[in-house]
Amino acid sequence: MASTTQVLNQADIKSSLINQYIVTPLINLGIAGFVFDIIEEHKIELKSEITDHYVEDNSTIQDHIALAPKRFTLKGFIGELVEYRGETKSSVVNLAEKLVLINSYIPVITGAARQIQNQITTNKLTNKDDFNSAFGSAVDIYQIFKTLNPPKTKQAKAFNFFQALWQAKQLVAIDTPFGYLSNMAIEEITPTQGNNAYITDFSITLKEFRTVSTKLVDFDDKNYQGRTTGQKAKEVDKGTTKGTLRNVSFIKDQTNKAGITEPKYK
Amino acid sequence: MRQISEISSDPKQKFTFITDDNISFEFKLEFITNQQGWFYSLKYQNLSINGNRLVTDINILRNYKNILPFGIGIMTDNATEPFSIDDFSTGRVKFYLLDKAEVKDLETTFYNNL
Repeated sequence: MASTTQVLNQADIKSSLINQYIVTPLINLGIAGFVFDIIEEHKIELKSEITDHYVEDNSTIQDHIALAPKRFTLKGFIGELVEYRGETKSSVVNLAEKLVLINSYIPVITGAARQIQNQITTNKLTNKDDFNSAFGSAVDIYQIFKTLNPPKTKQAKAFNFFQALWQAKQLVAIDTPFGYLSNMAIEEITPTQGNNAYITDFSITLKEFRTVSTKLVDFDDKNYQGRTTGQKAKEVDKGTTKGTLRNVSFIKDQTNKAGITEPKYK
Repeated sequence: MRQISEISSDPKQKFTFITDDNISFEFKLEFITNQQGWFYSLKYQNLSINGNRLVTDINILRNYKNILPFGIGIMTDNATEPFSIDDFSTGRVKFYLLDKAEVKDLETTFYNNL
């Protein structure tokens, strides 16, 4: 009996999958996880840019560190005929290949959801067609697949799968030996087929996709000093005033103190 | 001559001044932060003056001395210009209302203009 416990156990196994790649489109539940037949390499790049300022003694000082987005490169082989021995093709792999059934247990992907929401809200969709195009990837990928030649080989299927993700600018999540990476975008796909027509070496580079969000707030002039406050200020009616009686000699004294003792104009 | 002490640090203010000759006119002051200065507008009978910068002078209305029967003197303690919104409220800048005779007196004293 495929109980809930069993499914959850399988999901746990999937999340701890080691030495296998699972590339999962974040929102397209109709497209399964993808597993390479043979793993060749996995590489993650964590870089930062650190400023250099040269000072008088020809040394440099640093005052800022900017973290670059993560890059992950996976390489693997897809072959037409793959023989799995009992111990090489584990139940984990078998499970991963059937992820269609448990895709809904994949962690919720908020980045992709935001991607859809942004498209819907910014385009102010009004009809079903626009909605479908905004929903995007599931529909688009399907249409992309339709426009391509129907794949006959496993290599072409794999290529079409990645091409569809790339063409749809789909954000994906990856299970790697280094951990689970979400909100990754495909930066480069390099399938290489050598003399052997039955096997293709795939190299896929993914780059972390960071986004910002905006927030609408009410205008509060207390937060804006000076100009805006002054411009927004209402005129204060001070009424009628006659002032306080003073002697005009005060102006003369002040002006003389300031150095204006000779007539300026004639 | 009368000293006007009612000017506060509000950015926009409106007054009706009455000189010693019992002549009244409407006077508006506005502080513009961008310009770091006060600007005035004046309305007397058919004459309107709008948006002139308030500067330190014995009579900022000297250009109109043959039209207006009054004048306005702006004095500062250290001979600088009005530049702060608090200049009048702190008393650093003083605002004087001159009647016709006082305008003429100052003209004679400082400009030798009889």
